[in-house]
Amino acid sequence: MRHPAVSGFSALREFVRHEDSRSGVFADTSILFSATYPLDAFNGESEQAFDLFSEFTVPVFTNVNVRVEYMENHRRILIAENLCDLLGDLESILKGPLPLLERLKSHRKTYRQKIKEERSAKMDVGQIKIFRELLSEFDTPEGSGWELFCQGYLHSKLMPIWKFVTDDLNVNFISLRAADASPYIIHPLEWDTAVDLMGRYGIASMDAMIVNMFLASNISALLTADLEMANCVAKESKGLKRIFIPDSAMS
Amino acid sequence: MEKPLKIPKKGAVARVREKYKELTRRRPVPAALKDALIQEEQSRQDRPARKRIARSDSDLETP
Repeated sequence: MRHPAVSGFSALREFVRHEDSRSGVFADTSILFSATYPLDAFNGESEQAFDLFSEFTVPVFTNVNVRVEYMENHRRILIAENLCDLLGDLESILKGPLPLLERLKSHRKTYRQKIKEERSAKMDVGQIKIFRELLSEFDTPEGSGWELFCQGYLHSKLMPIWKFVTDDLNVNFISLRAADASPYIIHPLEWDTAVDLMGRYGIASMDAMIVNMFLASNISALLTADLEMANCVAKESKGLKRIFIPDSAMS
Repeated sequence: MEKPLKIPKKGAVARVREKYKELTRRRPVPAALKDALIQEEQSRQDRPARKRIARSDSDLETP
């Protein structure tokens, strides 16, 4: 159920013309991820939002908690994609019934199904662990099979992923280490406040820290595709902040 | 002194989309991993086939 203070991205057209927008918007993990992962369900809506911010010179902010979640999301997507690539490479070489090959085939089937159904292709950590163990059985002088897989496929793809946010989307990073001196944080950041949010709304600790920082800032609006977070901020900010979610996430 | 605020550039998401495509382009399997897997397959093929244990009378009949 959506809180009445939560608006769709279509309302950003009016917001960017308003004086409040000059203080900027805070983008959470779901939005930065959707803007940098072409297959994300909200990629198109995030594109329109960022183009509006460009046109109306609205700065976008984020912080370290979002960065941690963002990198983790991309890691789990890239491992899923790269395991499919590994299978593609191995199919022409190996013919035998290796357990690894069978697992990879099953993974690719699931991955393709998820993409077809426009569901998140992120692997869960349990699945990643299975492949880590299977590949680690192959020991070479250069390292275990898992390490070779990571170094050969994942590393070069993961390294530039955060630069998409800072260099391409031109998002401003609020360092929490310098929070006391930051002109964007106007109330002290208290750990107890984050725990209080976790306790009252049952939200994850990382989300609570993101909400806590946003509420303590002078940034006027939050962008998220997470309805739970949107509702939490709407209730806590008591009408002092704007909250926007992609229109397609409204229902 | 605070750095001046950055503003998103027009068409940034579309450019990231292209960069992502290029970034995730398939690369060949690392040679060391390929060799280890081929060796493993070879060693499996070289292992003697497991003897079948008769479980019923029909298993003992000669075809």
